[in-house]
Amino acid sequence: MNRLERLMSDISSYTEDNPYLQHITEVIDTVRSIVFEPGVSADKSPFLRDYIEIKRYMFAVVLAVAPAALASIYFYGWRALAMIVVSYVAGGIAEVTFTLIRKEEITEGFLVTGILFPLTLPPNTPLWMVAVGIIVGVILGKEVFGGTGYNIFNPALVGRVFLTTTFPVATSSEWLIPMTGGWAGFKQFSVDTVTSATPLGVFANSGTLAPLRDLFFGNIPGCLGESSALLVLAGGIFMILARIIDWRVPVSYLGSVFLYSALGTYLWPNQVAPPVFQLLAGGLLFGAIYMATDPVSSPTTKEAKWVYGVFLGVMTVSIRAFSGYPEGVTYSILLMNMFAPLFDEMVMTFRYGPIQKPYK
Amino acid sequence: MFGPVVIISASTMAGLGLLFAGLLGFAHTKLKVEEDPEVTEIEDILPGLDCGACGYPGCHQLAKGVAEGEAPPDSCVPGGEEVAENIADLLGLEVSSEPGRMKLAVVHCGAGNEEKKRVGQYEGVESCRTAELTTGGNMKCEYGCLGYGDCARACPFDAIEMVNGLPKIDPDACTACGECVETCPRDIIVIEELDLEGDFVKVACNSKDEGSAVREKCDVGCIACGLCEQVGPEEVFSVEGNLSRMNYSEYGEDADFDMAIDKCPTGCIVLFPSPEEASETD
Amino acid sequence: MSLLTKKPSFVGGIHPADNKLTRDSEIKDIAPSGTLVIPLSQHIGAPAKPVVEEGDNVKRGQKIGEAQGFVSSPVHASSSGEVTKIGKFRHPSGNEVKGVKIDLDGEDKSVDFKEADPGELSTEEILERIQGAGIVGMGGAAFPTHVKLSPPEEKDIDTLVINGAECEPYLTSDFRLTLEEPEKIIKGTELIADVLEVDKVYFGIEDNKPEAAEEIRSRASGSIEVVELPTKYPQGWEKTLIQALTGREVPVDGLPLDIGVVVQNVATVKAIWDGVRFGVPLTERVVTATGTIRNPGNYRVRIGTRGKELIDQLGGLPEGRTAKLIDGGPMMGDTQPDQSTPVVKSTSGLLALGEEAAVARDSSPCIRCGKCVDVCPANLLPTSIYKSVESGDIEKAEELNTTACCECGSCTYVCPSEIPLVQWIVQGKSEIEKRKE
Repeated sequence: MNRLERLMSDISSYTEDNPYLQHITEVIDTVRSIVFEPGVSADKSPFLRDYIEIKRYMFAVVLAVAPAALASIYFYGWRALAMIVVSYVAGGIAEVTFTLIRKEEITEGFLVTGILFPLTLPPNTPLWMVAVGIIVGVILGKEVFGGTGYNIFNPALVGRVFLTTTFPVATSSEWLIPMTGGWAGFKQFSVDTVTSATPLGVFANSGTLAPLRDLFFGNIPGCLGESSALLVLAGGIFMILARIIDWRVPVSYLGSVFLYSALGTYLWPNQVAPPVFQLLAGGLLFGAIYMATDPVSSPTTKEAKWVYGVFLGVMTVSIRAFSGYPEGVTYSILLMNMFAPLFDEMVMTFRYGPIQKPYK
Repeated sequence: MFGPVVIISASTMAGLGLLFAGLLGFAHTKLKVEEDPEVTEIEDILPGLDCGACGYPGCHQLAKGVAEGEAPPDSCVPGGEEVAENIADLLGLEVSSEPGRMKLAVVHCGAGNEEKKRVGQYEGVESCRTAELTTGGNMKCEYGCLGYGDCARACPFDAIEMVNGLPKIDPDACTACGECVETCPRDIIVIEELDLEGDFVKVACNSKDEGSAVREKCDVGCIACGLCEQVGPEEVFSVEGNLSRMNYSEYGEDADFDMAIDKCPTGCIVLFPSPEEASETD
Repeated sequence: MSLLTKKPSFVGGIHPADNKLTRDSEIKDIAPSGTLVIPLSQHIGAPAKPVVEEGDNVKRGQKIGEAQGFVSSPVHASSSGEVTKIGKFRHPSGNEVKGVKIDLDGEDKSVDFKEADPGELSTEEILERIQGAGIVGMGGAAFPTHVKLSPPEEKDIDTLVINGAECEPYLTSDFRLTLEEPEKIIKGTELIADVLEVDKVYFGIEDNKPEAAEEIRSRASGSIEVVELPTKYPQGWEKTLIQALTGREVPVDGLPLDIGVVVQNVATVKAIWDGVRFGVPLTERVVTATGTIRNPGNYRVRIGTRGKELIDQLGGLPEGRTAKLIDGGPMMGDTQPDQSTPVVKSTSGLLALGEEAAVARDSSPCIRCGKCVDVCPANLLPTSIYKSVESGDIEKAEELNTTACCECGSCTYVCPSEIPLVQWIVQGKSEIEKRKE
């Protein structure tokens, strides 16, 4: 091969210099370029790419949420895994159907929605309900807007809100008490110790605070993924360090919850729980780290991310304290999703406002 | 015991309803914008596509333009003769375009996938505009069709299909709206007015390079040899700026193109289907 | 690193692997041989007009193209031989431009260069000698240097910045030049500082080249402030460099001149000294030949040497490993369709990328992650520009300041969806340009 290449290169330079053979140089060069020259292209620089591409991006999120998912099996038995599997299968069918109709490629975003959605549900949600929820989430939350990248709302939260509003009894009145000690849930399929309320619910009804230690390690009733604050935080730190999510949204969200509840608990001690309890209880950490940071439905610019986070915090604490619902993370994130493009627009106006339309 | 409540609420609602209805009625008569009935009538005739091919933003604005005499009655491109005649009848005007002729988008490049001489391989956004504007296209020929199909995507009437790297125009569907002309970054597509009875012939080349350069860059390009001027129908072909062009208004149904097509050394004078032939082959 | 000792920098930027394989390779000469193709347009502005004819014999340094007007630059023969063709040749940037083909006689005869003592020359004479030597910006933009050094009366220039940042991965030509010929660079810097009558001279260099920074710092007599900047791409862009060094921001659609700054690349400064002091026109430059090319290194190459000639002298390309041949660096360079394009005045490197390095992935929908916004050194919103250009809303693209983009490629580099953002933005710029016509 190499010898042939050299031969052709010699022929080419010979013909190029020979006045009689000059015009066949082109032909020889063309043949040469097809066979030997680098398969070069006329595309645009840059030719280097960062290591993060969408498959790794989505995979990293799944990896980050895996400890919380494992913990949910530990606390609530193998039924938790069954919920995740059902969510993947049902949601996958919905996703594939749509991409087939649209004749587009399947995007990886679904891998994330598929695991985040079941983790936002109470552990005893019937499996068929999980399926209905994820299908609604994928279709009404994402596909109707045009698929990945075009959705306004976080699809997993759309599915969850659909379930909590249509089946309020099944999804918010009964909670399971997690198992601990030894192999706990890894030894059995499901848990049947029932309680009536989560720590937030208990506080709303009676003003009693659950011990912070339990909240931190996960020994409290709640949704699948939100039990252990420790593991959720670990996943969040991993994603921030791997540059998967931006630190601004969780920091401003949690920060504003802390400040607002510190002020609130001083002014209205009966309605607003103290700040540390607020941070650890319920779905706040899970929502701040996995839901509010969803790239598609959150703002793009740094400045808007700060504003977005602060508004989320204020809204979450307000809903928890002053509304009929003990928990407000889902609603605040969905509500603020609507404002995300608006915040970006405001930043754009702020950034380019004075120098708009420089010509004419 | 419901009595008073029902009466109070019902009468409040009814009162409010009456009040607003009154306000609306007042506003309707007092603040009404007078609209020329002619505009509405013309708008009814127009196809309502809002394609913008006439140069107005939409059909309503064109209707206004026609009614005010700014635009001629045959401005609507997709509507064709029928709409033009109807509008002219309504306004008592004459239609300017001649019968028996049609406007059509004509593609002036004949290099299919095999003939296109590529320089390297283009990676990136699959669009002629992007390729042309960011990398200068990746063909030896600077004038020829890039083949990424921007025209086909721009066509509001699905009249363009990319076949073997070249746009193929369906003469039945084409309304000569000019969207493809606008889109093509290399100005290969031109709107021509052809005689329906005559031959549908074109010079399938757009290269303004000198003959020797064209030969190097393309096998089916016009080398501006001028043979067509001599053997073709009189006054039809003219070579200007290294490129042969046809004057479509200079020939009728009797013109004979056999010699020109036959003699063109690179075979870039070609026949293309008229609406009649196109529907026959379907 | 504490906040107090933090080095000056700019907002945004990326950290690609720098791959400076040829860092320790000394500059070697490549003997001119075979044929040269010298484009008559190697600069921004009017192309030079040929002053030789086919069949003429030329010597090295002989003018073969005359500048056309003020914003233009002459072109010289880089070696001796016979002019065999004046016609169109492919320029590394992709267009076909008029050029002169010279068949070399191998003797490399040279014209006599007129030396001069810069101290005795007036400003006008210095500028004349710079233009006469055909010197243009050698960092990539190829703007005629004498134009840059003659700012309009009303602009008050107080700062000169010498750009030795070389932030492009793979490239080391400026670094080696700074290391090996610091005297010429310092002298050239002092010369143009006098011409511009500035009080402040900065030498900006990335902190991954401390030995080159030390070389300048130890030799310059305090007149030049050497600043080591964080290694971050695109540190070497005029606007980011100025922002890092002076804290001043170049206005959108403005020039460094508008804020009283002139920036010159180190290679240009060296060429200025050669041109003014020794009368040597710009006929050679240092090129980093790197990547999968055999014997990668830094070479002093005659302008007009074709890629094939250079690569063959180095031992050729190993078979089967090269996917792309690039004129310049991997972030902003131009791909070459074959090896026929010549080295021009602004060619800082010839890079052959293997398949594993030259990534081209399929793009997927934008997920609005905002990474491109974070890294944009021009503080733009690449994703919004892309969306407006894609949907044909050029007016919106114009409002988003598309024209301020320097095409550094940081946004495409980070995009997880692999959207060719720079390509869209470049298209947007062209469309805005077209609309204004």
